[in-house]
Amino acid sequence: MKFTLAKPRIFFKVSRFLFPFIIVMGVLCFGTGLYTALVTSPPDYQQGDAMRIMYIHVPASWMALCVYSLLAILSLFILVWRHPLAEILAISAAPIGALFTLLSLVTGSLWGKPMWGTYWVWDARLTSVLVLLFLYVGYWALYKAYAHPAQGIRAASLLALIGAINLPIIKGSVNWWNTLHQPASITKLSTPSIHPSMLFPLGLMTAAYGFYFLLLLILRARTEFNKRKCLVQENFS
Amino acid sequence: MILRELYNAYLHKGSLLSTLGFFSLSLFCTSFALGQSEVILKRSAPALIWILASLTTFFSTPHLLKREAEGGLLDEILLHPCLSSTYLVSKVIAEWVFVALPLICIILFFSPMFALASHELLSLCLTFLIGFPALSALGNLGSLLTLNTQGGGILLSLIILPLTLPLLIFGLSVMEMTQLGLDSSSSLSFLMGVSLFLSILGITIGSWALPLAVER
Repeated sequence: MKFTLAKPRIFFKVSRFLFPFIIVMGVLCFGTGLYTALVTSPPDYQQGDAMRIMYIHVPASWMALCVYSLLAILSLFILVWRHPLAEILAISAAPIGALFTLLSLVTGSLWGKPMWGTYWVWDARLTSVLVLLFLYVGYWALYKAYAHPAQGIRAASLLALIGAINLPIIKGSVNWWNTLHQPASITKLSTPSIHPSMLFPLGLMTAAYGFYFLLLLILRARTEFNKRKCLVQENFS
Repeated sequence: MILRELYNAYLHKGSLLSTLGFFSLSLFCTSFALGQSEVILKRSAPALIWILASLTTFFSTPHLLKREAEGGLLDEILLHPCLSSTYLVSKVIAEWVFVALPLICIILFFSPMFALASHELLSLCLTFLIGFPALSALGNLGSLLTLNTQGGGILLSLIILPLTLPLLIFGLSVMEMTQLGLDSSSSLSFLMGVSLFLSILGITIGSWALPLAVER
């Protein structure tokens, strides 16, 4: 079962089936999400229109964390079962995750300038997300430093597994330390402290980011598959 | 095994000396560049010393490991019935003796330049000695991971430095407490916990990385 899934043919079949669906859903979510976020949702009573950057910032941060968790799980698959599909998905996912992290940091600091009066503070949440970016960079650098990708991916997977201890730190940083960054307003056990008129566009934007990630992941994985195929053919001929 | 590591280090006095030379020279240069102001020197001394010491550790560990890998010792460790983590533990202990202790001596020697009081100096040395096993374990892990690459030391610092951040945070908070004259025992116990955790992590994952470093 594990290895029938790994056959490239099956991956191509499934991804070809899902691809149009993902594109349509992604465009729909981005369109309605951006419209509701930028036009119809009410401005914040304290922050005014500046809080609209949150519709970009919050999903990007969530995606950065999600992609890293995915990367850690895939790394486990790579190390334990040497799963070939996991390898390809992991190296396709890592740069996308790094981009989400960068987007989250940049939009956060743009928001911080009018709200906190500074682009950057050494706050626990900000620092741990910066460390996440460094982990992504280190993962990619280590993978690329090996002459043989099969070796590089395993070294990088070990690094990704250690880096996973950063995830709970990011999550807990706003509760464990006194930080400037506000604590979570949605993922609480009680009802979310955010009005539905703002929650709705946020959800749409998150879905849009998710579809965008899947789209890029499939494209990158296909490229990687084809690259490897070419490499094998060159080696044979 | 520890004795063997120590003897090995003794055989390669040259690289050890260059490590210590690098550390003292960089310490001298930064303290000189910061200028005359005693307040600034005193304030920045712990951070500078910590960062330079961790960089020194990361530059020195790959050399020894590389030499042993070329000599075929790593293959032998893998074939040997004893755990490969034992090898890493002995390496960390030996490094504690022949890198950390000389570094402490250099810090003591250079302390007048930073205008540190004796109790501050004491807590600085203590935090460094506590934190060093984690630095060394992570450095060994990093050098195992980068053994077969061309990048070498720079790549190692790139992948390992983010992981040493907790050590830096708690080590420097101990120093801050001491400089303000407060009770630093809670930060110290945090530092011990973090150091222990990172050492175990580095050694465990390092023993997984050992087969990876051997194949080429």
